[in-house]
Formats: sequence, C-alpha cells, structure tokens
Amino acid sequence: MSDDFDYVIVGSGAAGATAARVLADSTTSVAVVEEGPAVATDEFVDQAFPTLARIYRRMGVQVTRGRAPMLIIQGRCLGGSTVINSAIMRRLPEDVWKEWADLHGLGSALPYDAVERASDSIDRELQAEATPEPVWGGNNRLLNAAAIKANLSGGPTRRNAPGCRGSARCNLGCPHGAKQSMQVSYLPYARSKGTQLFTDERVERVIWRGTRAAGVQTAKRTLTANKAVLIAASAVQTPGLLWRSGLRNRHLGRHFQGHPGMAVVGLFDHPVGLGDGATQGFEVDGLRGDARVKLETLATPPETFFGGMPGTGRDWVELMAEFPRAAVWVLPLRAYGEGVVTRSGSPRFELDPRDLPNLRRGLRRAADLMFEVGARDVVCPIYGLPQRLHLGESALIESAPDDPAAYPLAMSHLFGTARMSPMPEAGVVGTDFRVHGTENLYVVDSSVFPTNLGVNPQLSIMALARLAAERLVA
Amino acid sequence: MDRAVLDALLPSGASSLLPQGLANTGFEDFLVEFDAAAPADFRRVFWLALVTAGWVAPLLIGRLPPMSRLNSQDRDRALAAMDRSSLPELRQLVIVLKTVASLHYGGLSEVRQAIGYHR
Repeated sequence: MSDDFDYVIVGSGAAGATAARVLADSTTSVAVVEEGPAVATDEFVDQAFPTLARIYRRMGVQVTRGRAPMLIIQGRCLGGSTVINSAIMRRLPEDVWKEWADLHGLGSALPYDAVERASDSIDRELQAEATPEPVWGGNNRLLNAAAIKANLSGGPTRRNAPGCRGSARCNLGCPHGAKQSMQVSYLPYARSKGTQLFTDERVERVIWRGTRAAGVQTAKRTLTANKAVLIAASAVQTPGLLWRSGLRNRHLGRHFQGHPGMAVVGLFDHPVGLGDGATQGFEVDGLRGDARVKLETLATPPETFFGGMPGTGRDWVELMAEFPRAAVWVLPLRAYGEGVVTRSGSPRFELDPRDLPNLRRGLRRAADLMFEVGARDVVCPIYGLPQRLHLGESALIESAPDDPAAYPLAMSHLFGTARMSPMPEAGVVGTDFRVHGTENLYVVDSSVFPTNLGVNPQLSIMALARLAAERLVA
Repeated sequence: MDRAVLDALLPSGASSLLPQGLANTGFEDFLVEFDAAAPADFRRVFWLALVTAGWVAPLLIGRLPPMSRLNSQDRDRALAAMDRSSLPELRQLVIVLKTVASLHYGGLSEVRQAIGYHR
C-alpha cells in the first residue's frame, strides 16, 4: 500500500466521504483515514451495548461540560455518524443561508443555487425519497395524524434509505444495507476508483513544509499529500487536530453550536410498536418559526427507552412496561447558546437564556399533540414535573424550572468550531474552505458552518463538502 | 457490588410484564463486559454512582447507611430521594445507574419478548 497521495482526507463521515467521492473522479491518488473500525452490514446487531461500544464515540456517553451536561452523539467508525443516524436528508434552509450571507459574508462564496445543485446531485446519488407509507409504523403514523389534526406543516421524512424495511434500527447500523450511509455508498465508489481507506488509525497531526500541509501523521505511518490535506473529523475533533498541528486562531474551537433536544413520550391504550417502522419517518416543521424546534419521531430500542424514563424502583419499571404502547417524539432545538471545544477536545456548552422558553414551548406543543391523538399520559422527564402528565396538565411544562440542569438534554448536529469567514480575524477557514494562513489545508466538515441549521444537517454537510472538493479539482 | 441498590433501582415483581429485577438477571456478568468496553471515566462515574446510592442515599431520608441495612420500603424511598434531590449532581448519578442498568436489562431476550420488541 502506497503512503504517497495527491489528497489525504481525515475522517470518513458525511463530509470526508463526499469529498473522497468527488476527488476520486479526478485522481486515483486519494487516502481516507478513519479513526474507528470498518464494520460490515452483517456485523450490525440489534443490541445497544455492543453497538455503542463498537461504533459510537466514547460509547455514546460523551458529554458536554457546563451547567447541564448534555450527551453528544457521534459515530466513530468507517462512515462516521452516517452509520448511526436516521438517514435524514434535509436541504440547507433558505432562511439560514440568508443569515450566512447577510451576517457572515458567505453569500457570494456559497451561492444558494450552488448549494442546491450540489444537494440535488447527492439526493439523486443516494436515492433520497420521502419515507414510504408502508414503513411508517405506529410512531410515525401518530405524528402524521397529529400534524393533520393541528394543521401543522409536516410530512414523511426524506431519507436516503431506498428499500428500507422499517426495522427501526437506523441508530444501531442498518442491518439490511438499505440506508445509504457512507460505508455502503460513497466510500465503496471512491475505493472502486482507487481511493485507499485506512481504518483504526487516528491522525495525530498535520505535517508541515512551511505553510504547506505535506501530509498527516498517524500512530502507524506518515501519509504524504502532494496537493492538499482535507480535514473532516467533525466539529468536536477537527479543532483538536488543528491545535495538535500547531495552528492558532482565536476562533478555533469557539462558536460550538448544535441542536440540544429531548424527548416527549406518549403512552397510549393501544399498541404503537416502536420496534416497527422507519426510525425517524415523519417530521413537523411547523414549530421552527415559533419555538425554533423541529418535531420528529424517534424509534428507540428498549435500552434507550428504559434509560430515558423517569423515576426509580416500581415507578420506573411500570414506565418501562409501557414500551409496547409508547410513542416517542423528539425536539431538537435551534439553540442560541454556544460553547467551546477545548484544546483537550472537551466540549463545553451553555444554553442561552432564550433557549429554555423555546424548548418548553415546543415540548408543551408536542405534549398537546400527543393528547390530541389519544395519549392517555405524556412523559416529559423534566425535573420537578410529575412523572406522568394527564390530559389538561401539559401547561405544567411551561412552568418548569428555568435551570438547564432540570432537562435531560442530548445534542446532535454539531457546528461552528472552525467557522468560515472571508476575514481571517473572524474565522478559521476562508470562503474556499482553506485554513487561513495555510497554502493547502482545508476543513470541509460542519466545523465551518457559521451557525446551526434547525434541521438535520447531513445533506448540507455533504453539499458543502462536495462544493469544496469540486473547487479543488476545478 | 451492593445488591440492595440494584434491588431498589429495578426491583423484582414491580410489573407483571417485567417480573424480574435487575439483580436476578446476570447484571454482575454484564458489568464484566461493561468494565472491559466502557471509557474509564464512565466506569469510574458508574462505580461512584453505586457507592453514592449505597452510602449517601439513605442519609437523604434520615437513615444510616449502607443501603443494605434498610428494609425494602426505605431502600425505595432512599433511592427515590436521590433521584429527586435538589442537587443535580446526585440526580445525574442516578441517571448513570439507570443508563448502565438499561443497557443490560433492555438487551435481555426475555425482556424484549415480554414487551414485544422484534419478536
């Protein structure tokens, strides 16, 4: 195996694999380096513990520091978080793009129609489609019914999972290879064109020749890059790698953003069946404007469901036993809050004072929707609230504590720690994705996003990585 | 391993659907796997949570520790008090206990069969 390449890409998730796919069309000399293992489709199991241990970063218990510790969910395997996400393909919202253009000066660098064109191509290649009704399952059907009843805009989620069998196992790795995560789509394509994949290898640092990135150093070898090094290690890992590589910029690691969120669980008198149907097959956008939350379904395996239920002892077991009749909806919040990723790689995050009122408004609305479609009780596991809310009690959510520590939050979708700006004093990378002050070091993952999105970012991450790679070979 | 804490956390006979408690389902064997696979700080926090539940939770209801000296009703009350404590750190330790317990209990075939998950 050669250790000498035109391009070396660090990270094999949505960004790294998309860049590899584009570069592979113009050269056979591409290396992709992945810290985690390669896991074949037939190795995915229907058990949370071995899955978390094998393909999630820090076994799924990476947490932010701050007043309210939040779980940060990331994949750590070939394909990155695309292996464990729910295959959701949302376009970069136009209002967010406008913010990027007006407030961050990115309008001419990232024209909306260019982002859209890239998204079109990816959508097509990864066969994105609205979740077909036969695989909705009970959980998705209930949110559909609620959206219709409340006249909220929403619909079946667009996902890159053609042939989905509705086994509700997206987050454990798709056992049928239906989900077009990177290890079954772009990476095999790139490999067929000559790209070499290095797994179980953590990149220690970028190697320099003056201001030129000459390659990367792993524990096992040096990989030389004759043209460019592309970093796509995620918004948590990318800043650490840049620091270890000697880069200094006052924005590096700062502006860490995401979508903190939590679940609302409806308990019904009839079976719902969290084990059947697309993991996240239905979504409601109608609360984005008012409460900055998106409402979406989430099928969870028993391990996750049990762990999220409030109480201990008999109370807890009784809630566990509700699993067959439970619906789970989650509310990722487009938070105003920001954090930092420290040099040691430890993320800190604090909510902004505007965030909790928005989250509570969204949670209350979700609870009301649950009741509207027949929930007997709703579980909204905020400290201080009754374990079960009965019909007519959802207003209690709005009077819940104003303390982030009262909310069991998890954060997915991470952004901003090497943000893009045309001005070196305002960001880490320029509008060509090149790290300011370097000749050929590029960051192509969601670290460069100047803000969070309010929607699932997979397609936007891919679209920007595609633009970056296309410009490199243009 | 303080079985009294396990009994209080996830007791036997609490539900006709899920009659088995955590202590009777091979949780100790699971913890061997957990210790081999989990990040060091997660393991440390889990064991801290067990010790805190065993030795601090009884104090929250005015009883002397350890948990194993308490009758079953007081064990339940003690752990519930820790879960509802005004100190978020104590509540977070209960979450850690529940997370690890759930990783084991939710993966058991008899539990999955009982709740109709992927029969």
